[in-house]
Amino acid sequence: MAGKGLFVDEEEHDAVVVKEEPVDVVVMDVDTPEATETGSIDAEEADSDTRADDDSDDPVINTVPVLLNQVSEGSYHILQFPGRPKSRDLPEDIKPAVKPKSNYLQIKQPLDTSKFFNVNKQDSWGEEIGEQTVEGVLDPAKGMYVCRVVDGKVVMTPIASSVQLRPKFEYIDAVDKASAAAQRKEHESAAKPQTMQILSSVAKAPTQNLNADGYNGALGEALRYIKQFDEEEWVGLSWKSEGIDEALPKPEEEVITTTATKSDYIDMITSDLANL
Amino acid sequence: MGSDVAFQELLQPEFRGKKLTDEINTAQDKWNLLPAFLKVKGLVKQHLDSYNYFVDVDLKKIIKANELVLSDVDPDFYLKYLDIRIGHRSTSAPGTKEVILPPHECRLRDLTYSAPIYVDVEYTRGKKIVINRDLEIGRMPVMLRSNKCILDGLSEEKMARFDECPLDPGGYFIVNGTEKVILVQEQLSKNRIIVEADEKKGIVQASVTSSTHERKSKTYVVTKNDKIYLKHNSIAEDIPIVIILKAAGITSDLEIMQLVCGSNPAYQDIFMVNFEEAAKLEVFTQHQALLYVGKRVKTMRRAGAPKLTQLQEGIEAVATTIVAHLTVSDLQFREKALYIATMARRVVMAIDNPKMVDDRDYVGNKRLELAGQLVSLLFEDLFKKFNSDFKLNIDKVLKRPSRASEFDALLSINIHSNNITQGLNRAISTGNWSLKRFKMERAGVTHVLSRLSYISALGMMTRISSQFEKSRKVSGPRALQPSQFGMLCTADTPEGEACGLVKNLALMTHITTDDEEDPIRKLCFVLGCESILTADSATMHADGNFGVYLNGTLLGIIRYPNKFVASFRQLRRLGKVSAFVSIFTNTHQSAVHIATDGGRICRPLIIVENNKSRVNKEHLRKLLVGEWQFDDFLKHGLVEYLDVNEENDSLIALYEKNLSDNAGQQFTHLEIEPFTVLGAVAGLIPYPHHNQSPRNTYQCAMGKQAIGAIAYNQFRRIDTLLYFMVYPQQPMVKTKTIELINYDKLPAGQNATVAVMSYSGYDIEDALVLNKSSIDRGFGRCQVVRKNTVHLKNYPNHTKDILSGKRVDENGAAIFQHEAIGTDGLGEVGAKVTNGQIFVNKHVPTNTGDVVMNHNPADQPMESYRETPALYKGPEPSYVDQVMMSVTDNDQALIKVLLRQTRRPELGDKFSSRHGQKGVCGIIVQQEDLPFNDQGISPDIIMNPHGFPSRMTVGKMIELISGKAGVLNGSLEYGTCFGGSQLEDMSKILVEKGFNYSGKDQLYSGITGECLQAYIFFGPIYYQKLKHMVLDKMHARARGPRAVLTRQPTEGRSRDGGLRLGEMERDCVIAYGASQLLLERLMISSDAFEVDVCNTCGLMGYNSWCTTCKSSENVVKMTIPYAAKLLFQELISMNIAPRLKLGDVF
Repeated sequence: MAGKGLFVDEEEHDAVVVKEEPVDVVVMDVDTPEATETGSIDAEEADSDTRADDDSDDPVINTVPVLLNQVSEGSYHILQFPGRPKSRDLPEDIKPAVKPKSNYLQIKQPLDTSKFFNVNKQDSWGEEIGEQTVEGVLDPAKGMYVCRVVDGKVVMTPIASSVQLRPKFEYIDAVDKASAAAQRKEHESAAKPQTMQILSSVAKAPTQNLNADGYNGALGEALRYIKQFDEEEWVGLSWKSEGIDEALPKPEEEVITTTATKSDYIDMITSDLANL
Repeated sequence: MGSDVAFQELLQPEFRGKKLTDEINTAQDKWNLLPAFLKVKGLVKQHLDSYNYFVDVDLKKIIKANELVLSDVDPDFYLKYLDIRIGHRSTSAPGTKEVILPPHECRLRDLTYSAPIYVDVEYTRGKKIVINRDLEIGRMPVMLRSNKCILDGLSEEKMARFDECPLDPGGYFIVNGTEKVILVQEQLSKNRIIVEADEKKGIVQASVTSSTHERKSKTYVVTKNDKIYLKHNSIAEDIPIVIILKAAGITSDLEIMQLVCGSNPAYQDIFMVNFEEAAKLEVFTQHQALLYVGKRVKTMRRAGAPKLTQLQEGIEAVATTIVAHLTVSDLQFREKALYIATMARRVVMAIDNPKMVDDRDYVGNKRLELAGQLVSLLFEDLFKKFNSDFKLNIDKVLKRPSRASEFDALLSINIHSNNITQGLNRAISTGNWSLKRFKMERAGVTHVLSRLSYISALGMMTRISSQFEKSRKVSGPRALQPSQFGMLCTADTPEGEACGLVKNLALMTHITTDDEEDPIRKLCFVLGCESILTADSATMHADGNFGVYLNGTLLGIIRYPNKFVASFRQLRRLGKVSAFVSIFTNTHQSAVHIATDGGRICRPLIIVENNKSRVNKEHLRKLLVGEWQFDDFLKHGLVEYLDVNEENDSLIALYEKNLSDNAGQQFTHLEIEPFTVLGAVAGLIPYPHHNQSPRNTYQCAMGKQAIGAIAYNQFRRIDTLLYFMVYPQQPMVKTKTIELINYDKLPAGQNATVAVMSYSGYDIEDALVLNKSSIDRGFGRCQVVRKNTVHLKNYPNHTKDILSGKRVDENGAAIFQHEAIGTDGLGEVGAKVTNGQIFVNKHVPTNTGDVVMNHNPADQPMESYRETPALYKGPEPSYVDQVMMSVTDNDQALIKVLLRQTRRPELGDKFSSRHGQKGVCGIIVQQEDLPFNDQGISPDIIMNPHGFPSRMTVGKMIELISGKAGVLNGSLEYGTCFGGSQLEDMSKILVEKGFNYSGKDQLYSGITGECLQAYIFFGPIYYQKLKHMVLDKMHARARGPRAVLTRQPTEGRSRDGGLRLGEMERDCVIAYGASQLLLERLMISSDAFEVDVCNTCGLMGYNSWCTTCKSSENVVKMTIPYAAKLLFQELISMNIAPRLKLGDVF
């Protein structure tokens, strides 16, 4: 695999959350590059296995056994905080919540008001802003593993999904909403005569149209999804900060070996491609 | 060309003098890959491939996308399409091809060569679910030689049984008896970003044309006042780029900066101002941005659709409207956000460095739309219409509250089946493609296949027409693009308004069809591409990181692009990935582009490794003995297809010797054969590399007009107009292309012995002197056959047209008009038909309208008929060649009479050599008067030497020398481009045979017998007779018909029109002072008309009476042109009174 640990740079900070029943959540900080090994490991393994034969100027200098962890309960997820420097620690008091059907994760964390925080702005909004919301879609992460070197062995644990958490600025929207509501109240009385006109436009008879995308009157796919998202309730989770060793399951003893030859491997990765 | 038999010869152990035991030289013999390629691919394979893809794959996709028909009335009702097949039922044996009739019969009987479209449906009948298989919903026109055509894969013998020519390329349709070609259309590629700059206005714009099954739309990212905006037709205002990116979920300014500018300070400075814009508009959050967009969306709600809130409008716009080819179905907007960010980045890059713009004319940015795709668009439109009609119909039935019997939906499905058939037929026969979905109206998509000669039909199949308007005054689209090397013929383009816009495919090209994207996407991730969903925005444009783009959409990033590309290519060479998926690196954009879309032109090249060709002697031996086919080379990774973009990422050696000569360079590929830069038509030219390039272009146009053999079935064909050469010869100097496209089997021309000298003065301005004895021997003799169709109609009152026998005079002999017809009223085969004679004696009933009420046949009056015979008109008589009588699909008799003329060359007939040197016959001279050489040979043609210096057609001279050597040697010589028989060798042969090395001979005058004062360049040159013949053009008129409206003589030869004395001629006559001549030409001989003009009011009256003044007092007669009188009256009708004021002449 080309970019081992490449994508962990100082702008990014990764954590792994074990999501189980909302009772206990384990969180650890993993700064080791292996933690974000992405792409499929078995690809690299098989590659290096076979390439040893024909690549004389790139000899194998060390062989490392690979262990694969089975996840028996819960699942592992990569949380990415784009825009947050690695040097800045995660605050302790974090409130995660999830919409499982919509695959959506939200994290509320206390806002760091010590730096770059404009108190005057907060005052002008007249609202107390204490929390920052970051959220994102849980993208299924097929073929992604967390790898750690334990006793000279690489231990891989499969990842269920990854999520990039972006700020939501709920407080600005809340201010907007409030002012919009106030405006509407003001206009309410003036707007009343206009309701008469709306009635007249209802009478339009639905005419058939060839251009209709198969269904008439239904919402677009994205809007339907958002409707479903809005209707779904948040499921609260709890946040724990733990070291990586406690968080990951105990490594299994069996070392994975591959019986696949190079051509088997190539067949595997291209199995769903139509041949000539 | 599917005919295996024709190619077997090429692949025989002993082929063209080369035996199995002969040494195989890779450098020379690798060209054998070309016939192998053409055997598999053929010259029109692109049409067949695309049609096959349409009927086998695309149709199923269309069915899948429109599979459900639901009712608004009954929620339980549904009809689902399960499968679709063309030309065979679910039960029929594999390989069954069900077509209406063999293609040639369709041609003759004016039918459409089509196959039934069968669908399997599942639907509800009452409470039951019923599956019905093999329901015919219409008929699909079948492309000849496609896998739905009965000719597919037939041997030469079996083809002959169907009256088909085995050399006919196929790839066209037969609709209502005419052969229709859907020309290849060239378009700008869809779903790709194109960056353009207008340096004068300081505008940079990135645009993308998104094309989905439902709609087509264009999204722009443009600069305006140094700020960047997103523009889309359905958004009323331009949206600042930062706001649209925020709406697409990139909430932090930092991330926007990372995605658009990376860490490049120059880019950051350019982009910075856009953040201020968004801040000024107080848009900070995604919610605010979506509202901002939603407010500006032009709502075009369909009737019945719910009214959306502004927020919903905004979401809808970002999710589906903008960059419509990427659809978002959940909350993950990242792909789309990155696409817009990439567009913005490309704009910023172009602002920073104006060279970073794309070239619209670059062949890699173009896609070719083929018959299959066009028919697919049409079919989907018709199928949707079919379904909505069907739905309306069942709704109507289901709405009725009480139905007597259970409703079976299938009963009403067949009502509309004609719509699909008719729609397809109409579009192909008129060439008007109107698609309601895209609001597309395109005319001139199809053309009648030109059957002037074999080569003109072939040239038409490889033609590509461009969608650019011809009127635009830009030279770019017309210019020769370096990137078209090997893909599009460099010589073959018409002159004049379509110059450079109509192109032709080169000899060894392939046009891709769509490949699946998903497996490729997965493979990219396996090969180490980091998905955009997990990659951090900051690393996206970090130095050394390359984006991986699949069909223009960012998939992820890769750290080691070279390795990625290398392993991808390796998989492709192993045959694991489709050979037509292309991958290449663009270092300027730090991008790896993978393309799987259809319509890319690509061509095969030999793979080179460590400056060694992978194809070696052993492989070529296998090919020659027939062990291997072209695809084996592909399978073994010896040859691969490159498209234009990937070609740009390679170093291709022209010849094998270049590999070893330039050891410092790392070649990646080797050309299979350099002469494949030319197309099929340009390939006819011998030694084209010695000609001035426009001459080759002229020849390409003329080669298509040459009269020759059309097809093996040419005498069975009944076409509107066909020309045959009576004794066609294969050229003495041929090219490899000629053999490959079988021009030697269906040639169009004759080898003429040419003397390049002046003779008689009738040879000025490229005129040719022809030898009368040569013409007697058959030189340039051709036949012209013309079809005349007569329909015998049936009328609603049960009367019908009839044929009547011939009328005879008192002696029992036929009257003059009926001399050519027999007792059946039809022309007799072989009979001579002269001007004014009848060849079909048709009679039409006088009463065709009213139904005669009398039911008793005895009471009915004898039906009366009126003669409406088919009259022959023409200066020269014709002979009846064939008479065909058949029935059309609506049971009306169809009579086709083929009339033939045999023509000898005459003064004014046009001839041309294969070097763009055309000339007309200036004089026909008795052989006795022509010069002769030592052997007593006199020339067939004398050509004036002034034709050479300015034209610089050196190829023609070499053709003469090679031809002469060939004649003396008894061999056919080659004039293949970039190769062929060497001049030195030819000269050697000439010297050996006792001739001058330069091809000059000593000639003696035929008139005086004296030796001519100079040596004359003398030898055979292949001459084509062009279709422009004097007999078809000669025209004169003393008096004749006049147009009804203007009373002026009619226009044009076909209407026996007059010759116009035009403006410029008028100017000359005025300048000369011959005003009376002017009066005569413009009025007296044309439309003189006597009018009564009232001198009081100045208006025209009649019969010496002025209607305005109610008097005849001052009415004078005068003669004016009728057209002038007409003008005055028209002006009066517009309330303008033109008053004539008369004065005395003397």
